[in-house]
Amino acid sequence: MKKAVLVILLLGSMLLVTGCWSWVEIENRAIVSALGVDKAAEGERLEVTVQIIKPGEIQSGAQGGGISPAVAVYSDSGYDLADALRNLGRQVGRKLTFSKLTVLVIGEGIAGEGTGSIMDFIFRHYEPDLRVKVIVVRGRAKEVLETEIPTDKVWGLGLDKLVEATRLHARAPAVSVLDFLKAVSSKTTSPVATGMEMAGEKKKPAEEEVAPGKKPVVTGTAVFKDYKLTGWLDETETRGLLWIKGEVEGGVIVIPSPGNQSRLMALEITYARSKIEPQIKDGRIIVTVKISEEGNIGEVEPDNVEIDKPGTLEIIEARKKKVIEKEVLAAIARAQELNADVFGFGEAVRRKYPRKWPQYEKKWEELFPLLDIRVEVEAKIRRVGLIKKPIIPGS
Amino acid sequence: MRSIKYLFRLWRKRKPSKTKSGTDKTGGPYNQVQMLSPDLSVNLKMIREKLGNSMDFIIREFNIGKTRAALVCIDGLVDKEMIESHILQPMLIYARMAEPTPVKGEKELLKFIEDNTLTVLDYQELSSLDKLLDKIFSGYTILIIDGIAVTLAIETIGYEARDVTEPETESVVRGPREGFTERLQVNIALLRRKIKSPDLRLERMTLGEVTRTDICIAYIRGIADDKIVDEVKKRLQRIEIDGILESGYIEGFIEDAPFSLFPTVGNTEKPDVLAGKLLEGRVAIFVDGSPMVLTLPYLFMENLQASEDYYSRWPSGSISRWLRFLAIFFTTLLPPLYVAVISYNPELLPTILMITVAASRAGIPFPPVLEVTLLGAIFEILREAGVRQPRPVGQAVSIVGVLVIGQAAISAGIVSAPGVMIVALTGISSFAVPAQTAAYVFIRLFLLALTATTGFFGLTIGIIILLVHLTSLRSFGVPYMSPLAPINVAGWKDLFLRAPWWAMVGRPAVIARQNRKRIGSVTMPGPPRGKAEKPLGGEDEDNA
Amino acid sequence: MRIMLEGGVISNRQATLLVVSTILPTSIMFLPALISGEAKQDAWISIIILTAFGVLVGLIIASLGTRFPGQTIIHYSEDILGRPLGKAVALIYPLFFIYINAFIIREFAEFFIISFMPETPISVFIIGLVFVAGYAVYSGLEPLARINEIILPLVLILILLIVGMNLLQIDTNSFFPVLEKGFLPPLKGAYPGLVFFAETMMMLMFIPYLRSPSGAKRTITLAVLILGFFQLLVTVMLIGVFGGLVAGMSFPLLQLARNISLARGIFHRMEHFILVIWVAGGFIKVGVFYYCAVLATAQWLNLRSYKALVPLIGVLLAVLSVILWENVVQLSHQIAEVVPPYFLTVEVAIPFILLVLAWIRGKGGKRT
Repeated sequence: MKKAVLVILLLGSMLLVTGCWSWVEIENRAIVSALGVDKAAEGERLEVTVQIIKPGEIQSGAQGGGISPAVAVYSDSGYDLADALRNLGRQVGRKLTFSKLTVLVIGEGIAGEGTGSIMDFIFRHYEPDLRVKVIVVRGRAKEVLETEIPTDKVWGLGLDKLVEATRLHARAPAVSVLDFLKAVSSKTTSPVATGMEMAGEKKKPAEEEVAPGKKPVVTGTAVFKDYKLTGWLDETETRGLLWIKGEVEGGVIVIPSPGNQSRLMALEITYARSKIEPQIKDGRIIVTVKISEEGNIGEVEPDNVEIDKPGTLEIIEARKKKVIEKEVLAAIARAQELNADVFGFGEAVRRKYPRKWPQYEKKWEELFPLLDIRVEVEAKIRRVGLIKKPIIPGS
Repeated sequence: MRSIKYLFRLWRKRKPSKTKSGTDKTGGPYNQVQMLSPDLSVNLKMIREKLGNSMDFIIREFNIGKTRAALVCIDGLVDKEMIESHILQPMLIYARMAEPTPVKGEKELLKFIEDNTLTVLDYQELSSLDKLLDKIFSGYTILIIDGIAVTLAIETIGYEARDVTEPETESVVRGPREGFTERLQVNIALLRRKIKSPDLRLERMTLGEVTRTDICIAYIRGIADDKIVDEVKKRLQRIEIDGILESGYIEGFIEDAPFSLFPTVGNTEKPDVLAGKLLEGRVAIFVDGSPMVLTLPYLFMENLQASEDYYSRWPSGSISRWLRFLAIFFTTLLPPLYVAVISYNPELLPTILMITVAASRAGIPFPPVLEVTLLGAIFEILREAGVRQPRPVGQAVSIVGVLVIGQAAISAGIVSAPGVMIVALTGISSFAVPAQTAAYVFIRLFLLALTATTGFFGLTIGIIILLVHLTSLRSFGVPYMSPLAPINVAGWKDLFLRAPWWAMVGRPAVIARQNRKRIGSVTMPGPPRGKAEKPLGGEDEDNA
Repeated sequence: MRIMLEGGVISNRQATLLVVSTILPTSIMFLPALISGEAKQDAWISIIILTAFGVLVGLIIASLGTRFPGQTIIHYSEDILGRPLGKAVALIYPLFFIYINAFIIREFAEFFIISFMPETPISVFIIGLVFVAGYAVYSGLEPLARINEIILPLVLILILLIVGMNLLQIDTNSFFPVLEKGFLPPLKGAYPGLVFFAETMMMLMFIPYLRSPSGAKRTITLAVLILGFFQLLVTVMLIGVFGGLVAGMSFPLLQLARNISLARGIFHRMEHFILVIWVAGGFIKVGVFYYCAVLATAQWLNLRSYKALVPLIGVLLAVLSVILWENVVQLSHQIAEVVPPYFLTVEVAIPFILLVLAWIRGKGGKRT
């Protein structure tokens, strides 16, 4: 029994004396909010850029009013991501913490060479979660991370909000590491990522060193084959992709006004669903994409559109349908051109014809570019807004 | 825990065991029963010998008719006026007036006095010296008559005592305000007034070899488990101590787990609370001289119950239950959680909160463990300092402590604002849990130490150790964590909720094993059904 | 009557919960990945198969246990097989309990290290777990059963929370096609799960201490069904959210918890609650097998009390769990491919043979 006491004491003291391994206080951590990966200038290395939150700045900003940036940006290079991050640690001097990582920005150069090890790092490391957003930038990731996002003190969070906002208008998909990896794990589906570019020649005082006068804009889709970037979808094609995937949650469709062809009117999308129905007929695969959309009238140039007249809405719906079809077909054409099944048609066939699928799976590469894809769109206008008739001058 | 207990037992064994003189529990410390003699002067001499020359000791000798007699009492314990007007006066005056009645022999004289003279309600005949002494010290007046070996002990208790007031420890907004006092008789009367049943059993015992303190075991026969009552008696009879000054002395002798941080004996200062506990099948121990009445068995869930829960409607009762649960979690877990989050796993916080916390911790010299421990110690000192002071001083202490020290320490950058918040919240929460502050302080420190070494892992290990300890505890045979473990879903109605009264059909199953049903076949109340009985308000149309 | 060693009695409900706690903490953590390696999106079918198997094993165990009231397998294996052989067979059990417990402890320790604290030496977790489990075992069977009544509901509520908070993330496409390659993959996928679902055999040590031993069949069956339900729930959820990625994950449920992000990130990084609850669940699991090991050893050696064995076996467990495996890959390879036949022999085959022999030779079965 005395031994038991001894054991307890020993255990207790052991815990106390040798403890504290993972002990790093919150203020001594370098909280990474955004991670950028580029191809380094010198050969086979890659360059990593991190945005680290500077807590002190946040507070002083809160007291002083106004939004001042609260991040510090560091970059360094290495043979791979882990190596580069270790090297980077020399500059930062604190333990890098990835648990609050929100966006992963990948430069075009490294994306073309393959992002496998980057994704593996995120998946393998115990800190980041799989909701980290994947952005591929036309240009260098470092440039994106060094650019101030004026609306947010923590720029990484700002980037995240940009992606979310663009997704809501169906100009770009929001893709998490999880989505990306799920697509990679499929034998036929091609992963995509949010596209981004540096745009807008905003005049800025020259002394602002980190503002190159440009700002990041989320636009379009980066298309991968396995882990390698193969091409891009522009905004129209991107919306086509999102129509097919049923991921459109909002946005605006612009059509010519039924009253006056030269005038435009804007229709808001409120609801969209899609259904992919594959069919195998005589050994040929036919994929039918059924899209149903609903929307409101958002904006009308006040000419003689008589929305309340029966038949007008039907005309508008028909035009809207045409626009959607055009977008969808454009996306399909582009994807077939890139030979990248970004829509998951292959998976759809597999789900429906599990027995026959293996024979198609092997030659999907050849099948997809020539795949017979039919699009059926159903577009509806449900509401017209607060006014029934636009105010026409002099009426 | 067990090992410490074991060591302690060993240590006790080595000490020479107490003298085992055949102490007679009922007879007290006197080795042989000393009978009184018929001779008054012999008796008085014996008493004088026993009491020495105490200054508060009064012997008043007088004649009843021709017979010599004496009154013996202790000054201060008796109501002198009562003795004068109800004992002395009739004996000296009316006894003479009754003289024509022939009194033959001393025996008849005693009977004559009892029947015709004494105008006091309560008296007893005593014939042994030690019983006589017991009575003297309890405030009785002894009438000794020459030639009779029997004395009369007349109840004349009249010492100064506190009135029945509202207890400060268990104050309520709704519910009775009376509290127990230091007088056993008063306390028992308060309980009797609540429970007017012949089944309420009050059993008297005397404990303390020197203090000869009266204690009283109370329970309701038919509701309380006989085994528990027997166990209580058995444990009380084992006590050998010179004095019992407060019920805490007894608690220390009868509790199940003396080394545990958690009490296994409860106490209350309010008759209504006590009546409630007795009705649930518990046993109470009154101790003369203490307003704190012990209740057993005591379960962990009683920490979470307050009398007011039962008096107010069920929603407010239930809400206070949840708040107390929350308070227990806060007061034990908040500091360790803070340390675990800040030092090990800050990602648990939402991003913005994480940044804010990091910002306010920037530049603080102490690690969170030290910060929380030091602040906690300061808080406990402030509390202790405030408790023993008169109210204005106590307030000054808290103002200086909280406002001045806290604010200054934060703005000087010695401690962080979140740290102060955590400690303050911990402290406030500890007040929301009835009276177990010390246990929670220990738990907090224990968990803090473990958390400091391995973060959440250590914290969990600590909680498990506590849970193992708690679930292995029993109070008088009843599992301490009941009805949580072992699960008793019916009991949850009085744990996680305070279910409406008509829904709490049974008494706690583990305590009142013999008689579980507390509510008859009452269904849920509601408005009367059928046309025949209209509510008093009449038809709606009439009001229009 | 042989010496019972344990004076405690547990209610059948407590036993049910103990069985669930004995299997659930590890099975729910490791099984989904092991199963979906073979069964892919049909992993949920494997779970149903496994549950049926678990019920079957439970019935064997319960029949054997109730045939010999007041005795554990250590005792009645001698009755059935005769003294030398029975004693030898009985020896397998304490050794098995120690080995499987070392296994479990190591699994838990690896889980903490990989997912939360990579810098911390593994011995810290092992010693911590063994210490608390030892404390509980030392306190006896009743406290172990009671503490489980507090911990298991928390574990189950937590699982429901994690599942509930991911409901919106489910992609129903992930479940199709059903039975893509026939029944073989789900059957193959069920194979590594057999070991887990056969862990109900620990009841061989507990049946004598049930308040009503005759209800053992119901107790075990109910436990297996509860277990199967939660296992199914989690597996379905994992397939729905992660699709084909499940097979490659070390701890899919942990990822599921990490995937939660509700109320603008306030409910984020829920995996720390997993850690807290999982230490608790793991502690029960380790505690149960620890208890079995200690009790079985004491009974085999005919000791008067098992308490002295607690620290001894504790040290043994801690040491074994450190030295038996080199790394996590070896550990998961063994669990998926090496140990199942051996474990299943001990968990199912021997009790089954004993049951058949007892039936043939007419041993036991009479009410005493």
